[in-house]
Amino acid sequence: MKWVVTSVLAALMLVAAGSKLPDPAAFAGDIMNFRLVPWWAANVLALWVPWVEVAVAVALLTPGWRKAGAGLTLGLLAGFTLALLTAWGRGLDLECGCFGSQTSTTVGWALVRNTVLLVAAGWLVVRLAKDGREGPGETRGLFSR
Amino acid sequence: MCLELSKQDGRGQRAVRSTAWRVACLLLVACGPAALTAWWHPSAPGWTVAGEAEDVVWFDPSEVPEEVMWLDAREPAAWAAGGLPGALPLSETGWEEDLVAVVSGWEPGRWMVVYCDGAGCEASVRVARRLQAEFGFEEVGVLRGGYAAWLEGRALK
Repeated sequence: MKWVVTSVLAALMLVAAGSKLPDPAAFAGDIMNFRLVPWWAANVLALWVPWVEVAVAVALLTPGWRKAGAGLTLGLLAGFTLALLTAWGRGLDLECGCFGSQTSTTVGWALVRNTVLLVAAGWLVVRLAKDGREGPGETRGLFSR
Repeated sequence: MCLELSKQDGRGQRAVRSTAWRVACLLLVACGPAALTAWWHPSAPGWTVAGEAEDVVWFDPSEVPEEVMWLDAREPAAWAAGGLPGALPLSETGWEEDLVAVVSGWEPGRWMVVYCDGAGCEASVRVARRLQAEFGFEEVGVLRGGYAAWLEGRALK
């Protein structure tokens, strides 16, 4: 089960990054639509967040880095969900931009999806912490057991 | 027992510290390719404030005359996600196709106001210059602060 959740989250992070990387300017526009940050911060986030998602996906699949990857996945999802919640609370009618500008996802649907992903990421963080088997020096591969 | 618990505590703290370092490392590692993207990506967001150009007319969102023709200079993907009500797309990549509707919709004396994402983009200035240079339109302006400023203005209302 742990491996399934890890793989699904890593795959989702890669897909999310892959959909944003071809057009950072459009993603910056999506961020600005949330009206939470000034334009320069939206530009920085549009350039940085997709690469953080790539780093997280790689970490989730790398022995010894899974805890960090899972923690960061939880943090990213919490941040995205918080932004969506504030948009929803202010009655903003916008596309979430979660998987780039080409996809069309309403805030409501994105919130439902993110809640499921948050639960999955939270479960993974707790499971990895409880396990305690995956320390910094751990060398086992993802599918080694 | 207390000794055992304190040993476990120490291990737990080390694990948390180690994970925190790795998280920081991942965030830092992402800065490298992000910087390269900013430098090389053809669709990277702009960084200079375009308000310095003196060869175009600038409009603050609150000063735009009524009945202007809004032109959206953002890329087609951004336009598809939403733009100003009644605006027409006129991006640099879709120039040929977009131009037909713009030219046929223009009436003498009606101002064209071009906008892009925000204060950091320059597409609106380039499009305004092109309309002036290639077609001789004189009543062409640029929205100061772009789409983001218009959205902020609408939110304040």
